[in-house]
Amino acid sequence: MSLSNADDIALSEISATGPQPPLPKAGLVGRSPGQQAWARLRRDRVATVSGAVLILFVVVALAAPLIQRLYGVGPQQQFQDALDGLGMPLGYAGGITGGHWFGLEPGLGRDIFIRMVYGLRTSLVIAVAAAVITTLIGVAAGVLAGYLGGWVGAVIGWVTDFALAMPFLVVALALVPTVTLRFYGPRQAEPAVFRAGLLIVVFAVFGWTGAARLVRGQIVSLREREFVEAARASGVGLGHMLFRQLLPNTWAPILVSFSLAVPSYVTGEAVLSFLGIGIVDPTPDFGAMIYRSIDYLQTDPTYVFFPGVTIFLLVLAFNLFGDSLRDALDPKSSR
Amino acid sequence: MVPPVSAPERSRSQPYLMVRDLTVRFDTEDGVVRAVNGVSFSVDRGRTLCIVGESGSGKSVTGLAVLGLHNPRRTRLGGQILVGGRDVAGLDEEQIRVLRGRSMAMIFQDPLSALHPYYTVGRQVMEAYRVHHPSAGRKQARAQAVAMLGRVGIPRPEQRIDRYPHEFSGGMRQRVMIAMALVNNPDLLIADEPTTALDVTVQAQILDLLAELQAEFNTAIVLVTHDLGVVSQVAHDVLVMYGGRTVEQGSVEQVLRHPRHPYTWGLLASVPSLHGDPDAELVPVAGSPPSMIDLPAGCAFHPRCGYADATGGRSTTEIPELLPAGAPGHVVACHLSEAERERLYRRDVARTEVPG
Amino acid sequence: MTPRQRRPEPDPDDSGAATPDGDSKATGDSQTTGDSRPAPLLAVEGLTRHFVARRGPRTHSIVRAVDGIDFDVRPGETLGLVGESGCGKTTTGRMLVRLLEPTSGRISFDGQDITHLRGRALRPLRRQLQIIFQDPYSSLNPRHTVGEIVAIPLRVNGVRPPGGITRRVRDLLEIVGLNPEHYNRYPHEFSGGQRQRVGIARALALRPKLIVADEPVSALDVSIQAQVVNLLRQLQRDLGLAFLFIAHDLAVVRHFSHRVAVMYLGRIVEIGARDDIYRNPQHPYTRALLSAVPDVARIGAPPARIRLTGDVSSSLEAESGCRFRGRCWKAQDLCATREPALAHRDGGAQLTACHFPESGPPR
Repeated sequence: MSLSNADDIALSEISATGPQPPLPKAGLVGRSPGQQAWARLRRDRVATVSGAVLILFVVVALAAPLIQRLYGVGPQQQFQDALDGLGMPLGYAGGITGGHWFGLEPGLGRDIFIRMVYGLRTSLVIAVAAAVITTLIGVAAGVLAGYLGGWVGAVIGWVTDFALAMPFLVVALALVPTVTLRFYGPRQAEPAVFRAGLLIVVFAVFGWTGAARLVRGQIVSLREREFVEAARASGVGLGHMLFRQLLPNTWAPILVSFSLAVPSYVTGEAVLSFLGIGIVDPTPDFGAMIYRSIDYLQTDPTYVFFPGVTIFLLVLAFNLFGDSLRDALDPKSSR
Repeated sequence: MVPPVSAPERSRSQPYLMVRDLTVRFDTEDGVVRAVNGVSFSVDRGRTLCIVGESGSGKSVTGLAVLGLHNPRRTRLGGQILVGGRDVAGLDEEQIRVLRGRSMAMIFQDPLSALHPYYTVGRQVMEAYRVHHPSAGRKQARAQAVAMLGRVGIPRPEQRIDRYPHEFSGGMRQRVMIAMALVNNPDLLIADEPTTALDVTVQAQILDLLAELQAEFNTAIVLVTHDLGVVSQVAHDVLVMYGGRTVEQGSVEQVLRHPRHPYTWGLLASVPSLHGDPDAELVPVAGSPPSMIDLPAGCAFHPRCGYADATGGRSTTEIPELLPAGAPGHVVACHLSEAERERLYRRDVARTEVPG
Repeated sequence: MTPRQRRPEPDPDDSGAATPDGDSKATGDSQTTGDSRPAPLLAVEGLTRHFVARRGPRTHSIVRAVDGIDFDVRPGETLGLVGESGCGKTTTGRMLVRLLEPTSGRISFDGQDITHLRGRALRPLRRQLQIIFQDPYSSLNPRHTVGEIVAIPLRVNGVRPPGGITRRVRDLLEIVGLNPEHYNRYPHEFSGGQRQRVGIARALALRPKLIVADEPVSALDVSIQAQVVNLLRQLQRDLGLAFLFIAHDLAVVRHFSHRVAVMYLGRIVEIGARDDIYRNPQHPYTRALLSAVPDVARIGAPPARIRLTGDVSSSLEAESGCRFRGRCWKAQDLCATREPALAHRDGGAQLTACHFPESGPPR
């Protein structure tokens, strides 16, 4: 005899009549479940703050060239004259001045702030692209496996299990240098776009399984609902069934999983770059920056501080926003 | 089943359960849900009160509130709930837990979700027993559980006790729930739609079982239901709820035979029967049940009431008081005058009623 | 009610337990007994659906959800299909609208064999044969407006009604008693009864001849139940619709059906005109069902109630003989060895599958 049971009864009794059965004057166009979720999201303090932080990050990443022009410093520009003989930046706290807001890199003397702006760009492009691709693959695989079932479902299930069984880091460590070597000679410098693309492919190969399993579960439970049978009884085709009937009901979990996938790819990309198989040095990137800064942890802590804090904030904001999104889309309250 | 006793006999001693002016409110993001607004009733030991109403009438919430099974963070409770003379409305979770099971127990509509799927039914019945008999050993608890399962009509209880809930049929699960509720011999049993999910033949078995157990243990039963057929079979007293308020209350004879509220008339007329002319149209109550967030002003039933116009506008502005009507013990909340209702009842309702 | 003495079974039974022969004779019988009704719109013969239930990795058992049933539905009439949960009534309904594939048997609609129609060939049938579901909450897609829900059958079948789809959708909403202005609203904004009306409008969209109504009112409040039953009756009068009305509530079935079939564990045990079934139920199970319905008109527990023990699942999955015998108070040796065929018994107007039928009004 659990309390939740009693709660459910009470709630179902309240909601049994629906929020507004007499259909009052509120206009003749009803509020869709999506609009309700949006309204709930806007009332959520955490969602607004984390959402605002995210928007700020995205705007900064998009406007990087503009910021460069206003800031007056480029990402590859070196300020050797602001370093001392050992290559450490002059002045306090890693060389923070009015001209170099977050200070300078020890050694090469590049401006940390503008490199972070561009690093954000690299990071977000890779993470969002990887999240979009994995979600698309996952949704396609999950919908097919869930609705068709049978041998299609079984095959997709095996492939999913296979992908899950592969150790991500080991495969990435083995794969990335090999593939790079296959396309570019050992002495050839490969373009940054190739490296980024390769990372996205690696993430896509491993990352689609989560979304696939999620969507498959959703579709399997939706398939039992009577509206699906009603649609079949009306004679709808497979396309209509998948895209008009089933998928619109899975947007909520898909959106949530997407918004939680992005930060995991941000950290994933940073990890790979840190290990030297992601983005490599001349291209600005968080992982690469943190990797370089480790050498100066004692002598110049500000070098690791700014990229570290920024990536932390970015991931935190994404995760908080994803959680709020989940609450807002909670099917129980939007039934 | 004991034939209904006339109302005055009840007031000899203090009833076991007395609820006075109960109000229950929930805060939700759509607004405050006024689930129960000033409901009062009492039940003696050995008697059954049926709370009747549609979905959204507040009937289930009333039952849950008596047991303190509402979520305290979201719920605001008012009024008095006297169980055996003790007010349980203000008790905290820990104090109520002691009473729950021992003095009062509950049966839910869906036994599958109320039973834990990973434990055998025996273990769950034994646990319910040992909570209130901490000194009882395993052996004694098991014997008690076997006896109780046998008592509620589960065949071969000594074998079935080690089975899991999913291995039982719906009717058998409901029996397990009843065994769990009654293993501590509570004085008050609250049953929330206990037979709604069951087939008619099984429903008949469960209702018979409840009546037998009531006769044996002298339990006070509050049965929450929407099925007037069930009410007519088991109730001694009936409370009709609408929009969180009592609209009519009295003995089963009074409410079902001489209903005095237009809503009760509507409910009775809309029930399809096995007797009478099958080709006659059923007489539904127009409209839909109200939203508990946005109750109609005045009498909550007025938008669906065929006689609301005859009250000179009072039905839309004033909430009708619960006043005595007809025989003693029979109360009705309606703006229409007694004589007027009598006239309307004879004109519109009485002739469609089926002779008993 | 004394048990009738054993007497030699009449001819139709001699072919043994429920062979297709015996069945078809029984059905033929019903059609010849002074019956001037029009040709059936829907005719079902020997319809069977078995499910394989896995018990373990290797072991499985076959659940005979529907096991050889015959009935027909004439244009404009309602056949009530009554039974407790697990009797196969819902499976039957799903097979008729071809949401489930029958294991064997034959379904013909308007003279055409539709048992195994697939894909494109099924389309014309979908337009004539529609279904209303039980659960007003899960039967409407929460992401679609009410207008879309009603319009989808029209769109996917390429129907272009005069005046446009929107016009037709509004008409349909009006027919089922909803405000046509609400076609832009979402299901969650409606109450249970209103949602069920939307489901009815969707079923009506293609102007079907027959609607399978699968427990359409059992999830609704009593007061709303009566509204929906009245609506269905009115639609039948106005549009000449035929219904297969699946329900467990005998009182509701009585108010909406012309004929009634009672199912038990995958078989029809009694079928006939409504008044014959309700006034003179012959099968012990029908009598028990009728006597278990709590009646508002009677206060207190009925003294002469037939008390069945156990429930549907506690009956043996009968290998032979009558499936009801485990719960039947009249069961004898014959019941265990030979399955009674559906036939006229003791001069009753209905068909009853019982060796020892009862007679007289129910208790």
